[in-house]
Amino acid sequence: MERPQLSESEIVDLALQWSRGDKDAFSKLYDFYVENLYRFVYFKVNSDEAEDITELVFLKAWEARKRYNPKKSSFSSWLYTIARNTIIDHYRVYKKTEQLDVTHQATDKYANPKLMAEESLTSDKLRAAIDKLPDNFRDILLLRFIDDMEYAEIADVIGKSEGSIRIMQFRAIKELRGMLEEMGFNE
Amino acid sequence: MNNFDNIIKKALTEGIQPADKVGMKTRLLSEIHYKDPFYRKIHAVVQNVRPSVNMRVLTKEKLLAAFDLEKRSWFEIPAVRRFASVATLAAFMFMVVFQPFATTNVVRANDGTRIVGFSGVVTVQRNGELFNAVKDFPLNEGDVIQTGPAGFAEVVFADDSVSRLGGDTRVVMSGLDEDELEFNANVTVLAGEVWSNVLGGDDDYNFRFNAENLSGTVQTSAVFDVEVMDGFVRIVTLDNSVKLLLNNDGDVVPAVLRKGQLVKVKKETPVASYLAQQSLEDKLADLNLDWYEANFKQDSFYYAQLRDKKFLHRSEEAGITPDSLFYPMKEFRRAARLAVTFDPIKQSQMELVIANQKLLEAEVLLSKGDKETARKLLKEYEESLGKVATTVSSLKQEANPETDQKVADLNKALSVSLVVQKKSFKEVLPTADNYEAKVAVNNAQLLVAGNAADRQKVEIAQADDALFEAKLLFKENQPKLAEERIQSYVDAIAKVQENIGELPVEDQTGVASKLLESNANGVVALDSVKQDVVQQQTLTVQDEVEGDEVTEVKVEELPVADAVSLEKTLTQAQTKSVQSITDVINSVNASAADPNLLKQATSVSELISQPVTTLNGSNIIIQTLPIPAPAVTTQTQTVLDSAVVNAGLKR
Repeated sequence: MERPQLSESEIVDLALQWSRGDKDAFSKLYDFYVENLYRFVYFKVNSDEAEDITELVFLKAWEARKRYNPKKSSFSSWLYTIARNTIIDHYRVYKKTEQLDVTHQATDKYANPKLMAEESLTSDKLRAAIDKLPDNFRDILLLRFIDDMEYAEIADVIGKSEGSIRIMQFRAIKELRGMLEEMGFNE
Repeated sequence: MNNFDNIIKKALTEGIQPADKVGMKTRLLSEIHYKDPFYRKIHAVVQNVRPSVNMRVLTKEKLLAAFDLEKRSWFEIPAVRRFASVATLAAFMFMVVFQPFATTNVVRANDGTRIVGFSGVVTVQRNGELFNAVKDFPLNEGDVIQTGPAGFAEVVFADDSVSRLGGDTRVVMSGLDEDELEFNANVTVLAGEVWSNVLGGDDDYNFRFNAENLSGTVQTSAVFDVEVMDGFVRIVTLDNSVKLLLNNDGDVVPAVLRKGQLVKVKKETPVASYLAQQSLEDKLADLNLDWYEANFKQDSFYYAQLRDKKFLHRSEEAGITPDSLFYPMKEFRRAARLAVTFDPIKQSQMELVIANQKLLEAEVLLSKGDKETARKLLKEYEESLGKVATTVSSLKQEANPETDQKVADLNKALSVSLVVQKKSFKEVLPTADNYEAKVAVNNAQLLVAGNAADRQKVEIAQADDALFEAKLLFKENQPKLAEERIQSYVDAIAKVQENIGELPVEDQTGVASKLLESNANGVVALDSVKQDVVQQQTLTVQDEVEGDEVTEVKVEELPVADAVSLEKTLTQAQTKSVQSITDVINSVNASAADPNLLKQATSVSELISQPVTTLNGSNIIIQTLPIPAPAVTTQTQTVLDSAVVNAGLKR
């Protein structure tokens, strides 16, 4: 499904209409945000929890809709802040499960560098790499990769200054690049 | 011009001010990454992640239902709607708490590709790390599985197809992709031996394997073994054909390996060594028969397990059924939801969910023997799907830009629902309790087909299913039922062929193409059953599998009358299929046909013809082998002939 096109001013109007009870406005906002929000959640939680948590985010946003104030933050920032907090709350209750045990390092006998180099980067592998980043680095990269969010908006979501966000993004990409290279993914 | 641009402009003319240095550096660093190919690559991977259609539709539905109740003052609402609103609220609470619709509409997808069983040393290499296999070990894209010298591993794919790895075997799993409409899997065999039992699907189904200088593809069900040996790859097909591509020093040459054939493809001379393929019987001495025997037994056990698992799963999905005291409440909730939904698209979405749930309920009732109530539910299921299809069709005609996307989503949900139900019923036979539910899905498919051409394509697909059922019925020792299904196949194909001329010209190509494909597959499949019939004549002892126990039992030979009748039907069906192909090809050649259809016609005629020699673009000669005649030994022929004489039967 192609994402509907909405300008920032249209989003603000729709958000205000929704907070006053307009179902169609919510429907449009939902269609606009659901895929990106899902992607954000997907890379932060276990894959089988992503759909449930995305649904929970929209439920919470619906409950809090009357408190949305366009003068304080953009709708994107507001929604992703809810998403972040929902995930934090979720992991307060359900500790993130360990995926698999590592037994020992691959030996040269079985390693196939050519094969490894030819493997393509997938969402699971990317998630594994992103998972190793500190929380803020992860959020910044996801908000940039998923939504091309402006630094000012990201700063709003993360709660840091725009300048800090820019520096952290630079460091996050550097660290991610290093991790992916270690995993055998070259550019 | 923004502030940053002003700073740049100023820097170029007056130099960088100390106060601007840090900000400029930070900004530049972040902007550089944005245009970085690495960044764009990550961006692309991230953008490929998407929620399921069901999640999008159902979540929105739930939220809007709750939203609707809160919107108005209670006393403004007429009494009837207040009552309906309470019911909807109750339904919403039920949905939020128990999520009964969360996994309906489609049968819940199976778990992903995983190692379900193993023995000895089995490891999985992933992202440079090595893991020991455990039960239900999930497999990801790029995982490398290695078994030790006495090791064994059984891998089940998302669609329940299975591959078993022998000792000292190393495979790479890739292209693992399954959604409601497509299945893809790619197994690269680097060393050792892999037995695969692929369940198959339709056009969007692709099971691939690679080994050295060849790759293979399977779309229909097939059983085959791939072994990488020193300098060559041996492939044996036990059921149905496997399409191959041989990499002849950069030239890719297609080939088909049919049932009961063995080929040893040498690394250096893939095509020449392919041509030297011989029938399986001539090469039995070379094979490790213990491995084959073990896999055949395991396959029988697995089929039985699969049928039980699917039924149990669907029973759970059905939830409360009409024979329960609480069923009226379930009906009430459904009615309440529909009553407070006025948007035709949302109504149709809900109707689709409810219809699929009724199908599941009907199956449970059929298993309990309550056919009367089940049939009512099945009729409601068919009618609901027809109604949804009509709504989609009329909304499409309205062509309203505001709702076009929603209509497209609804149409997709309808298609997905039918595809998934069809997949679930694939192996259900006329002997099964829930066969009537399968028939209902087939009827619904025809109702939902958009136009005459689509209906004909559905009829062709259902004819193919009938042939598949015939094959399984024969394996289950039901020759009469198998014969009936073969006759259904023949009649259905003949009917489509008869009516193809009545279609609009622009639709004839598509249907002709499907007809060619079906007949080509049919000819091969019928031959496969024929071989089974003959084999059954020579079999006297068979292994019976029950749970983990395997016992040898003396098998009742197929009664001669049944064997003769079945063989006659099979031969006639084959002849008709070949004739049908010839007729289609002749009409295609006579008209100014679509070039792709001409190409397909040529390829199919090669498949069914007597040995011919053709040249491809690189002047490599491919000898197309004829369909092998049934492996009737002299002894078998004598037995059959004397039985025919004794029984006073004529063929």
